[in-house]
Amino acid sequence: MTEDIQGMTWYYLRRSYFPQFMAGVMRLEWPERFIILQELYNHDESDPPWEIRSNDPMADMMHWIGKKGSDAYFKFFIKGTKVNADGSFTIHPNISKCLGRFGIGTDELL
Amino acid sequence: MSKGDIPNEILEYVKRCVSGLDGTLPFEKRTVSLEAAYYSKVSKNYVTGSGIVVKQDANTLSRKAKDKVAIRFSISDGHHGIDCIAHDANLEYLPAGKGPHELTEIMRIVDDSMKNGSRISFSGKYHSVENKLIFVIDTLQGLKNENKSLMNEHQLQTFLTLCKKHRTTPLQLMLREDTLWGELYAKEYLKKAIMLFCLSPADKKEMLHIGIVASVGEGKDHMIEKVVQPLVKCGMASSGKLCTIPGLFGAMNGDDINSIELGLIPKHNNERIAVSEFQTWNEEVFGELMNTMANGYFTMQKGQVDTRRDAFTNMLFLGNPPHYYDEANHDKREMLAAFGEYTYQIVSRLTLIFTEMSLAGPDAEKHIRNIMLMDAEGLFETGDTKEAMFMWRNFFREYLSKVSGLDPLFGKLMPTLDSTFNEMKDRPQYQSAFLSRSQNDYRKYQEFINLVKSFAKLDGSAKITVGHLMQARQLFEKSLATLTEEFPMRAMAAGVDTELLTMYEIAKSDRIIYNNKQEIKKVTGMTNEQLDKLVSMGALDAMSDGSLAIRLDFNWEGGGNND
Repeated sequence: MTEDIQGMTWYYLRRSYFPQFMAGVMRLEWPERFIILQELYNHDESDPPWEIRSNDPMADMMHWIGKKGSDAYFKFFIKGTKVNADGSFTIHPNISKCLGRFGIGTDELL
Repeated sequence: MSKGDIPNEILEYVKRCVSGLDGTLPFEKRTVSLEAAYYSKVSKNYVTGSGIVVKQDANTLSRKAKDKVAIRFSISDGHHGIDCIAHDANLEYLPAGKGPHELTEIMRIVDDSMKNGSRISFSGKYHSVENKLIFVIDTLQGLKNENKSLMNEHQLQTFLTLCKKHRTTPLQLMLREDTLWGELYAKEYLKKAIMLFCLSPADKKEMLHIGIVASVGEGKDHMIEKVVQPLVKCGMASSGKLCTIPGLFGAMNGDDINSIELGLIPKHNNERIAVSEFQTWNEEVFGELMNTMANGYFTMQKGQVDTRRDAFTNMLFLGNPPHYYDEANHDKREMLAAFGEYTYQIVSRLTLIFTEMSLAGPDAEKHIRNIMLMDAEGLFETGDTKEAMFMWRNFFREYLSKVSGLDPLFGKLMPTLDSTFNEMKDRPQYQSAFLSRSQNDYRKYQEFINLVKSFAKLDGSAKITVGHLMQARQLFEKSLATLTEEFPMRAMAAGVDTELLTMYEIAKSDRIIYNNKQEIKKVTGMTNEQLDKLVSMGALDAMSDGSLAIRLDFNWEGGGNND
């Protein structure tokens, strides 16, 4: 039952929030995009911080995203999203910032 | 946007329902009014009608029959009024005399209608009584089900099953040009908002108010005349001087201060009204509207009468920005200043607000002209097009009435809805639009709940799904965006559209210097005309050797006057 509710919320986030987030973050120039995504990645403390992965973390991120495509962005999205057992959720402010061109969903999905 | 043909199975079923072949009455537009009763003065025929009691008095029947009781009352439907009598005299004096119990019951119903604005239905005929024509009541009852849909549960479920089978939804069908939107071209989000407006609110939690502020000539009134009114009952409130507070709410009768006539808003209880050119209204009218918009009723104290009228009425405000509006110096919220000193309060009560210069979008010109040409040729008034529009309007009128009565439940989606709202509420744009004066606006939360439920109703669903939540969030966000986003109004006014903006961004991201026009056209796909516009606005520098340089410091808000 619990899994059902969580699964439904994940489905909702993936279908409704993620496309907006991805479109929004891709509009940013790379230096800004890197900061947003790095903060999201580091928000989940179970993995080591992004910046220690290589000497040039931004190039590393560009390369990784280039290779993985939308899956890479979804990885960052997951890092900034928490879904609770009752189906409630919280998302990192960096994701909110990227939902649409001005930080709010506009015509893209309408 | 009509994608593909409507599946034949759905089309045939809708035809059957509308023509009454599916075991119910044919789906036709019903008019409930006093008109027939009013005009029966001459013929004195036996007629039926309905309306609201606006005045009543119980007294002796006449000097000659002092021991007999007469309840005299007036009924109005907002257009016509008739004076009625119900009595307990015998047939020699006046027909249709009642026993004491029946007359007391009539008195109760009349009293309830007078106090609460509830509608009654009646039958009877005119008679001459002491040189006066008066309508003698034969039967009278409270009208609870006048808006009951002709569509039965079986028809609804069959229609929904067919939609599911053909991978469509009732809402998708409602938004098509070959069903309800043939005579008007509009953006998708606007169509959805209008369909939500067409639901009938049964209580205050279900009311849905919408504000649309757009440029002149965008077809706002046309939308009401060609889409809303042919589909559902919708009152039209006019501009400032022609629409007074008494006209909206009701006023004392000129002949009798103990009688309160029926205004436009209570007349459309459980229905909807559209306000055209609301920017011409006096501020005080909005002040009077505030309680009604929030509570779904209003009270009036006139003479000896203290009346409460229900007004569960959806309201749609259509208008232009205030006369002083200047896109260079005002943010978009200023477009709503047409609500005057009550702007903040009215905005709090509007579920959806759209401040858009164009309702149809930049690519709509061709479609709009097509529709205008079809209209000029009378194609909407003849043949198959007329028949199809007639059928779909009749069908969806009953469908909307049926699904308005649903009460879809959130079930386990409640926490998800709560989180969705919290996420929006925490954004700076939301805080700036709705929370500039207080920490919380619980109305917005209630409005969001209603929005989600309304999307479920439009789908005929008894249960709220993630899909309904998605649609509600998108529309709510769209509304928020039009209030807060800072899109380049001056550039738009100078003739720049979103396509040109996108092309410019593509050109900028590719390189800074282009050797010639061909290069930039190849990269972006822009036309010579678009290229010239960017040069003339100063977004591109044209060099003497034919090369073009992107101006990195160009600001669209300069509106083409960056130099």
